[in-house]
Amino acid sequence: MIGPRDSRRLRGLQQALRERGLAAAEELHYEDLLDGGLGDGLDGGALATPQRAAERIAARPGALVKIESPGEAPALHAALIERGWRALGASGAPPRPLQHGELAYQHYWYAGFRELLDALPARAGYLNPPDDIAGMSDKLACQLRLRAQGIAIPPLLGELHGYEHLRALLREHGAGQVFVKARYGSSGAGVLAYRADRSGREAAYGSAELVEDGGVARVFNSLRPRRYDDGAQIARLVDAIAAQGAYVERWIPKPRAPDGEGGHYDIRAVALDGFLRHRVARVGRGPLTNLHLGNRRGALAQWLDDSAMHALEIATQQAAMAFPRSRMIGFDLILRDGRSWVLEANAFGDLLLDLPWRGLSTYQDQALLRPVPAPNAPQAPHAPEPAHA
Amino acid sequence: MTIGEYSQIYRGKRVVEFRMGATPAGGDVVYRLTQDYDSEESQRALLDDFLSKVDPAELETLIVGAWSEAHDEGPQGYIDALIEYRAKLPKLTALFFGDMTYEDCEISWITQTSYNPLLAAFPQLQSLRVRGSTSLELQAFSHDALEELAIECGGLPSQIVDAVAGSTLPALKHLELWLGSDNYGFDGGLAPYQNLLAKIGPERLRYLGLRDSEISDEVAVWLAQQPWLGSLQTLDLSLGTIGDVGAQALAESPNLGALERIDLSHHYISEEWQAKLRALPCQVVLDDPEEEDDGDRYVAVSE
Repeated sequence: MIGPRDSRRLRGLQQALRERGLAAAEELHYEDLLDGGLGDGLDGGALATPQRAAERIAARPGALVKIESPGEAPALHAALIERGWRALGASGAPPRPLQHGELAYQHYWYAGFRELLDALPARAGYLNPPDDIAGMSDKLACQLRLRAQGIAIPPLLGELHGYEHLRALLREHGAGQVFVKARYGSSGAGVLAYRADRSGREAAYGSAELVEDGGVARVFNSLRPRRYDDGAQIARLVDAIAAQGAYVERWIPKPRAPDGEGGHYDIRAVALDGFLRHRVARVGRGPLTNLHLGNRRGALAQWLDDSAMHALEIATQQAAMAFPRSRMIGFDLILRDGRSWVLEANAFGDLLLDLPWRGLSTYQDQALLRPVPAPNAPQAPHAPEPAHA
Repeated sequence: MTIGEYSQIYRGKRVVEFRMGATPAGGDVVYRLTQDYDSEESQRALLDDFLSKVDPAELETLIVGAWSEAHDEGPQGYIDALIEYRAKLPKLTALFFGDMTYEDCEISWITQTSYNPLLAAFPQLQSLRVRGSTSLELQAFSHDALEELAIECGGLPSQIVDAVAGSTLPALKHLELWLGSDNYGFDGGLAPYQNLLAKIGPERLRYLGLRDSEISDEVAVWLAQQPWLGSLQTLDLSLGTIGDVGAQALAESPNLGALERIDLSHHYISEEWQAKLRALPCQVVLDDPEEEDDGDRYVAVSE
C-alpha cells in the first residue's frame, strides 16, 4: 500500500487483512517518496526517491498494490503543493503556508500529486493504476471521459475562469442553477451550488467559508453549510475557487428522501471489479450531501424498488467501464425518475465506515481480492497533460 | 430553511407524478405535472399529453409541480391552456401551482404570473394555491365559489394583500398567506393584514393562516384582541417567529371562544409559556421549537 504515514485508510485495510489471517501489507509512505523527506525545500525533481517505489513493487511480483489518498496529512499536502508549484515552472510567488482548513493552490497540489503518480511504474498489480487515479483526481477531465464513454452526467458548462465568466456561462446556456466545483477538490471542498434569476438576484450555498484578510479573499473548508446572497461576496468566493481550477455543471435536482425525515439524496456507489457493491444514500437538507457535512445516511435498500436498484447496478457497471483498469471506484450518482447522472468518480471512494455490504466493509471486501497480474496488452504511453490550462 | 418536501397528500388524496409520455397511475389520486430542467416539451404539450390520457370531464384537482426554468419563467403556458380548455374541465375545482422543493427552485426564485384571467375563466374553482411571489400579480376580483385561497412565499408584497382585501369572496373559508421576510418582498408590516381582516369578513373563516412571518408576535397580539377570533376553527401562525409576547397574548386572550386548534409550529416560546398554552381548552401545536441566533429569529421559509 502506498499512502500517507499514519493514515486511517491504510489502517483500515491492514485491519481487514489481519481479521482474515493474512499477512500485513507492506506500506510505502508518500512522505518517503518525496526527495529528502519533507520540508527541506530542495528541488530534487522526481528522480531518485520514487525509484524506491519501483524497486519495492518489483520485489513483490504478483502483489496487489493499492495507492491510497494523500489526504488528511497536512504536511504532505503542503509538500505536494510546493512540488507542483515547481513542476509548473515555479513562476510567481512561492505558495505561502496554508492555514488550518484553508483551500488554496489546488492546481499546484494536483500537479505535485500527478508528478508523484507519474513516477510510479505504469504497470503493476494495481488496485487502481496511477494514471487512472490522476484521471479521476482531475474531476473535469473525469467528467469529460465519462461523457465520451456515453455515460450520462450533469450537462457541463465547462471550465471556469472566474465570477464574470460564470455569469457569462449562465447567460450562454440559459441555466439558472449550477454547481461550481473545484476541479481538483474532494469531499465537497470548494463546491458551491449557485443560483441566479433574471432579475439579477443570486445565491450560493456551500461549505466554503470566505475570509477577507487584508484585501485578500481566502477560502476555508467549514463543516457548516453556508449561504451567500451578496453578489460581491459571491464574486470573491468564485474567483478564489476558480483561481485553483474549477468547472461548472448543471445543478440536477435530487430526489427527496422518502423516509419523511426531510431532505434530498444522492448515492455513493462503490464498484469493485466492475460490479456494484457498497451503496448508501447521502441525504442533505441543502444542496450538498457529503456525509461529513452533517448530512445523514439513508436506507437506500428500502428506498429503491427492484427496478431502481437494478438501474443503479447497471449505471454503476457502465460508469466503471470508463476506467476498465481500475478495480475500485466510488461513484456519486443521482437516480431519479428512471434516469441517472454520474456526478463524480472517486479513486479513493472506499472510506465508508460502518457500511457493510453482505456483511463486509469495503476494506474486508478488498482483503478478499486476488491480485490480478498486470495485463500484457500494450498500453498507451503515459503522457502527462498540463495540470491546468 | 426552505421547502424540502413535495405534497404527498393533497385535499385528502394521494399525489402521484405525471411526466411527459407517462401512463397515469389511475385510481383515486391527484396528479402533479412535473418537468425536468431539460424537458423539451412545452407546458401546454405536457398538459395535452396528460389530458389525452385521463378523462378531463372528471378531473377535479390538478397540481402543477416543477416546470422547466422556473427561476426564469412562470406557469403561463399551463394557465393559458387551462383557460382555453375550460369547457372540457367542468369539474376542475382545485389548482395548485408551484409544488416544488428547493432542489427544483427555491421558493423566492419561483417565477409566477397573473392569476386574474384564470380566476375569471373558472367560476367553479373552489381552491387556489400558489407557491412563489416573484412576478406574482393579482388585482381585486370577485369570485362566488372560491373557498380556499393560499399564497405560499418567502415574502408577500402588501400589494397582493390589498388585492385580496379588495376582493369579493362570499364562499371563502380558508385564507392562508405566508408573510415571509422583508428580504424577499414582505413590506408594510401589520397594517395591510388589519385592513384585509377588517374587509374580508373574518367571522365566516374556518381557517386563518398568517404563516412564515417575521412579525408573528405582533400578529398574535393583535389577533388576540379580535372578537371574531373564537369563530375560527384553526388559527395557524406556524413557520414564523412567535415568542413569549405572542404566546402570552394568545394564552390570556378572552376571545378564543370555540377555537379548536392553534398551530404555532416553528416557534421561539419558552417552556413556561408553552406549558400555559398547552393548558388551554383547545389544541395548541408547538412542534419545531427554535433557538434564537445571537438574538435573531428567522422564519422557516424565506429563500
